[in-house]
Amino acid sequence: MAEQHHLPHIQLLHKQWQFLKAGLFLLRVMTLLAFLFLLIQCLHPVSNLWLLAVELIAVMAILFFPKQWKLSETDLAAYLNANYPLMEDSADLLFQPTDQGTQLEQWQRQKIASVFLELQPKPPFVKALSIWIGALTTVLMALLLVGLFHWSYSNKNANPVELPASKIVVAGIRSMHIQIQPPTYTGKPNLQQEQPAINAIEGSVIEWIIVTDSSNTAPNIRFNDSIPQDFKPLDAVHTKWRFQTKVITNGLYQINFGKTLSEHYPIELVHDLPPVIRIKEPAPYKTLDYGASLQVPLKASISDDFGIAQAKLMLTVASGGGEAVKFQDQERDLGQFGPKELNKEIVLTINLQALKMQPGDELYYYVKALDSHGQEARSDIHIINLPDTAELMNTDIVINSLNLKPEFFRSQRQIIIETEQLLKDKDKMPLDSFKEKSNSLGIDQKLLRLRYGKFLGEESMGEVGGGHDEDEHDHGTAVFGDASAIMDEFSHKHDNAEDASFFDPQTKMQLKAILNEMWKSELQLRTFFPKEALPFEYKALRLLKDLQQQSRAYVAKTSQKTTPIKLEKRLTADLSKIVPPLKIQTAPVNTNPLLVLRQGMGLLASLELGMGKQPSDLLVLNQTLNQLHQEAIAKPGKYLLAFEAMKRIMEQLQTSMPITNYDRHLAITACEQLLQTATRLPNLQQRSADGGLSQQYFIHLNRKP
Amino acid sequence: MMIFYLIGIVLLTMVFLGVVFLNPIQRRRWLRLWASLAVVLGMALLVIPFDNSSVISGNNHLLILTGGYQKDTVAAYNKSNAVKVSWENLDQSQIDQAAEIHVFGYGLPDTSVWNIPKSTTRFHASPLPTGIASIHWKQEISLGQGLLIQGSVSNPQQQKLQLQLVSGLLVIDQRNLGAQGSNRFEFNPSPKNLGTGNFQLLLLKGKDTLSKNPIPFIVQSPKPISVLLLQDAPSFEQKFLKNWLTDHGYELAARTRISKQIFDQAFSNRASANLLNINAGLLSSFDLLLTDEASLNNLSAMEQYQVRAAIREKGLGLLVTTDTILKHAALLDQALVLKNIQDSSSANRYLKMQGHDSTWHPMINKDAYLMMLPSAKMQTLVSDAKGRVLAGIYLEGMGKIGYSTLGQTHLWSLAGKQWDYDFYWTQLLESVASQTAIKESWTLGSGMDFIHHPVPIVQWKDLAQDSISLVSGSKIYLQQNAIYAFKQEGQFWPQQSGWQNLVTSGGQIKPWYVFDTKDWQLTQWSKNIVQTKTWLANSGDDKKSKTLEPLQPKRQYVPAIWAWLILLLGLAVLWIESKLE
Repeated sequence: MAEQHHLPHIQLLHKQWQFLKAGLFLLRVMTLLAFLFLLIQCLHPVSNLWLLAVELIAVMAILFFPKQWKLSETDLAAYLNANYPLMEDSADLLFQPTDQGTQLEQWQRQKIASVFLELQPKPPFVKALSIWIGALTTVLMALLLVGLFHWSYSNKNANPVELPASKIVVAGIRSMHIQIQPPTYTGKPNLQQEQPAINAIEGSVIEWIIVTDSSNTAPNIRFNDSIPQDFKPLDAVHTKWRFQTKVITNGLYQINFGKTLSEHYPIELVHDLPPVIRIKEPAPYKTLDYGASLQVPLKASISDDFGIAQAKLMLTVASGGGEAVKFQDQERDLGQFGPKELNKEIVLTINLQALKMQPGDELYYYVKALDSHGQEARSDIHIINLPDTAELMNTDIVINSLNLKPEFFRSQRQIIIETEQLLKDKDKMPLDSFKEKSNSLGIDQKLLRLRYGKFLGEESMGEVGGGHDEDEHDHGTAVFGDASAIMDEFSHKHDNAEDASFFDPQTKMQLKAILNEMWKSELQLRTFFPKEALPFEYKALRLLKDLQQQSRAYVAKTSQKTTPIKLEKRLTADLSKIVPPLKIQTAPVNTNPLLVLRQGMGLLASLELGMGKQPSDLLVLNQTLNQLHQEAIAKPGKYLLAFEAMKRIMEQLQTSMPITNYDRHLAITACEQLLQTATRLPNLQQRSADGGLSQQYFIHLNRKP
Repeated sequence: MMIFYLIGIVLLTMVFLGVVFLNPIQRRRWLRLWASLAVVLGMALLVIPFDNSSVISGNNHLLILTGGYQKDTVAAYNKSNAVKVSWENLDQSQIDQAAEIHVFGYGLPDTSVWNIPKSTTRFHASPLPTGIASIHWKQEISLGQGLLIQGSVSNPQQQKLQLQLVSGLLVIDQRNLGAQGSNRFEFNPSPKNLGTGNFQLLLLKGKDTLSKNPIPFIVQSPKPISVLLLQDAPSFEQKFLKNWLTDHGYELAARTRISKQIFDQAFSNRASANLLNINAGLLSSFDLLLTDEASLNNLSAMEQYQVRAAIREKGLGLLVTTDTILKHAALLDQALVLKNIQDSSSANRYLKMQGHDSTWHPMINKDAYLMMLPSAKMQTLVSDAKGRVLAGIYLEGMGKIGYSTLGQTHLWSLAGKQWDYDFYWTQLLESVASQTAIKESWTLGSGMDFIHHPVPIVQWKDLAQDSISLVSGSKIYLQQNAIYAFKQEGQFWPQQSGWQNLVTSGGQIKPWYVFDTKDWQLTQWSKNIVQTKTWLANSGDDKKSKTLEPLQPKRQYVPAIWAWLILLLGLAVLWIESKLE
């Protein structure tokens, strides 16, 4: 039964040939894609793993383009009919079941079935398959070779990305890469740059990596024209070099490779400044008058460029006086600071009671801060003074070497005493009496104020700070040398003669301040608030005491030994043994290095026509160059260009090349910035031999009528 | 003679015409005829002079165009009988033929080149564009001295301008100028260089640079003065002055009385000498005698005579300082009258010195001080804010005598106002000190010399003719003046701009600046305008008094070349025609 066995065979053949066609399609697509990938690899190398992704596209193409690889039964039958005549154009009958078709078809099927079984047709894709397999293999091998090439090249450079060309201009150096590693405490990240000019934080570690074309000699680096230091090779072929150093000062550097030396490149450092502390409140010298609160608010600000590590408030209490003064130190921590806290506002309260301060004591305080670099800064020392009212009331004050208390001085103390007594007796007396007493104290205060006011010419009642000025009094024309007239000018005849005092403007201001306090005290007393008047009364007394002590002069106690007098020589008028003094001195030699810049500046202005080529001029210009070199090392950002310009000028002078105006102007500008205005000094004038008379005569002769 | 020429020409014409018409050949007869007539005409022109019918009369207007002329203005005068000519192409014949002369532009660069009659000349000055119309600065100063630059800017526009004074690439000073009109400006920088220097003066309108001009100058190192100081008592004022002079390298010899017949002597930067006896030999080694009235009074009669002789005959300077009214020394000849002033206001504490106002000091001239009554022969050096004279000088023979009532100038130094102290003493010492005589002096150019323009060089010396040479190698020989034997003159035409060195035969090197033609253009134009107007206004050279001859019409004859050409042409045609036959 051959016709019973042909169907599975034809179906199997169909499947086989279908698979081969699909495989051929896949191979074609994969080969094309691989070829494209190869081109991409040649132009811009990427990872070979991307090839797998690319080939997946080929697989997906089978899904999207089925018509390209599908083999239908009709196609197979057509092929068999065309290529195998024995099939008698009836191959399509083989795909039908045996019981289908007409009798003729069945007979034909039977006939060709046996032929088919013996036929063993060969698929037509074999050749194409082998070709495309070969092509794909070739492309893949090419990819492999390209990948190997890139891998070996990237291995040599130890960096998958090729370094871009740097700005350094030295023959043989392909590129230069600089890495700046700031100090750790700054918390700043590392910097990478290609530019040779370096701007870094003080203490940074700088690494230069240079790639050279040849490996014969090692490049070296020269700082501030000093001894060159060699680079260390990084690879076996000696084309990649490295140098690392820590910079702590400004300067210049040059790279030397072979016979070529680069130009000067600046290294500018940003210095870590110590913290800045500012105490905003209270004032540097504060006096807490009687009645004022002992809680003093403190406001301060601390700032730093890289971070604050620690801040403390240092307190010193001075108690006692004279030789028995005692100092007690304390410190208070001002809180924790974050790692990058650059600014901090300090707000706290100084409790003088907690510090156990007594009246008469002084508190000295300042803020101390430490930055992350360990630099310490201190603020100014501020003082809080707690005056001793008891001392103010002390009756041991001696005035004018007499144990006499001036009436005005005693009156203010008396007012204070009586006010305090009134406050003590407040609960014991009726309200009317209290008010009457307070009012009478106010009147006393007013009288005292008026009495003081007379010294300032304030004679009218109720005026504070008004009245005519002392200077406007007309005392007549003063005669030079007449002491009494001077005294009359400043003394007042309105009051008692013994009260006349010699006031200067500062004293007058203080007296006015006293009057002001007295007025405030009077106001409170008159409005029956003696407690509120006390601070003003004490302040007035303190100012009075300050005024009194101002005129005192404190002289150190010394012992003086005088030469014993020779009685035999005394009053003889014999000066023969006295040698007249003779002094000979010479001005110090001016060693100011900037002096040469003045001469150099003058020579630079006249370099246009080749002037300045005298040996002495060249010497001055060389000294100018050296001076600019020093300045460029200290401040490369400001003077490097001028130094380079001056160097070019010197080279052009030596080779008789023309000098550009721009270089001259750069050098002159640097000299202008460095030099100070010269001191104006007398100059000896010159005149012609005949005094210019003949010249004047000649000019007059030629003058037209 | 002419009649014979005419007869000859007529006969020749008849002959030629006969030959032409008698020729049996009819062809080209007209050609032969014209050629014959051309030959006759050529021969006639050769022998008989013919002149141009147009006659140049003396009634034309000459329009001289100088730099900056405006076409509109010229067009208004450019009539049919006007002749335009530029200044460069001008010649005397054109001037002589002109009935009226009009000058346009910025004026005549040189009024002496041509003989231009002023009476018939009119000047139509062009308005100056925006720029620096005038400028002046001192060419030579000493170190520390200010370089006073003054000038004016012409600004006819609405926009404001800015002036910048630049040294190198650094702007050291600037001024803002108003719009429209002429603005005066002044700079007084203190140059920091020694030797030659060069500022640039930029005129800006917004961000545009309208002009950039160089200001060259020379800064000399100050030559030290030798001072003899006599004081009757030690004082802080004297001490500060001695230290100041010593520190700056000045020669100083000081004698201070510390007791009767006992003196403290100090010498700085020089060898010691006997100061106890003031004589002519001692005084000749100093440039200035600085003393007080008491010391002058204590000098012996012979010493006073020696001092007086040194001042009058040798040019020694005498500077007397005092702050008390004492008996004037006989040396002063009652030339000064002092007055006591009582003034406690602060005005007297501001001192005005030449070119500088001092800062206020609380102690200087506080309350009472001396002032000098001004006199005709005294020059004021220092005065207060109210014009009272505090220091002055007057001439005495060859020298000068200075007087100062300020006795506490060291307070400036103590207060940190060293600049005031330096300026005061510099002014005083410089004004009074004697002047050194130099054997030769040079006058180079006018202070603003340009390339390709003549620069006069004058040397004043006692010797005979001498030569100088430039760095570029050009040697210039000077001619001795016929009248003044000590004066040599020459002229130089610089070919390069910039700084140049003038080297004398004695080895003296004198730098000198030559400007380029594009430098200070507006200033030159302004100068030309003023110069032309002044020249026209000045009728001194006017030839109006002379009788002008009437201008004769000028005949212009036909050149002979035309006659020869016509003759040859005719002959050639006849010859060719005969060959063709």
